Amino acid sequence: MSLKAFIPLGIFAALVVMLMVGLTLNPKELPSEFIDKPVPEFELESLLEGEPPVRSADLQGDFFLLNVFGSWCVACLVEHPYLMELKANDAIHIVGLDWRDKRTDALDWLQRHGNPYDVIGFDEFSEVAIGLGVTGAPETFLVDPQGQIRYKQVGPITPEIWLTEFVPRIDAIKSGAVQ
Amino acid sequence: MIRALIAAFALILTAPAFAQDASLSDAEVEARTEEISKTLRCVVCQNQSIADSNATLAEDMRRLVESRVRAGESNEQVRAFMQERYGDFVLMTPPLKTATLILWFGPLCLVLAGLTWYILAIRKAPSRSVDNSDETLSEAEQEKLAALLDKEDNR
Repeated sequence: MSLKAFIPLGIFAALVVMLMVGLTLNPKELPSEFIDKPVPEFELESLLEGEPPVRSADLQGDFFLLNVFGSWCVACLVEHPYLMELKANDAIHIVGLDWRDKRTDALDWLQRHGNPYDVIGFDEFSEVAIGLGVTGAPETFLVDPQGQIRYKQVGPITPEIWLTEFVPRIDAIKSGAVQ
Repeated sequence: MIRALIAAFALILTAPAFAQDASLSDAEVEARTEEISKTLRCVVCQNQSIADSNATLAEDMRRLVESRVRAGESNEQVRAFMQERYGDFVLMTPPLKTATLILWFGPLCLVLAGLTWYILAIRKAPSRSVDNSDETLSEAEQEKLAALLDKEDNR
């Protein structure tokens, strides 16, 4: 049999491989444009009345999580207990970005489930969220002491994700292995 | 008197346009917002532009586009702002660069490859006109032919 007979089979195999890769990718997960770049500048009123506005410049000098959430967001409620745990263990500072929310709903939600955030910015019309390239909630940015974004987590932070994605990155930056 | 009233009324109607940026009318801002929105992809409902989408995020993106247009930015500047945040993905027309070469020229290459293959195939194929010069028609066939030709002539 000549080799030519295998051409259709070859084309078919190539198609199968491409479809296998293509169909298992998640088109909803966009890579962040901000990895290893400074947090885009913003100033946002605080969710808590009477508190000073939240600024991008506040996210400096230590490791921070910038956590996009909303009282309307079910997956945020899933990750919330773990954020409370991180707070209780003093593992990291957490800055909240209350996204597309109603102030009273958000305050109610925090009252009911606890507040793991150091400060919370109130982003009613996505001004800061769009500035950060946010596509959904929850989304969490890891910010290093220089104020650079080092990682973006799309979807809830679970204990496993914390240990596999966040902790190694923080350790590497702390030890100076990664600039 | 009436004319003065109408003039005053018109002035009141157009007043908001002057409040923001004297060089841009509301209609202009609206038109340019629409124009830009059509070229930006909604990042939650991926196959629509933010002009077509009713997703809340698309709504907010339109609002942001409008405020940047009003602030005097060019269409390109607004697009660049979104691209900086959401990547090339947010542009309905992906930019031409190394990573997108396949996207831009893949289909054209496929068409050219198909065409080349087709031309080669018909050139190589043995001629279909078989030499029948030795064969003659049988009597029955001759008659049939004559009948057919007659029919043609009588038409």
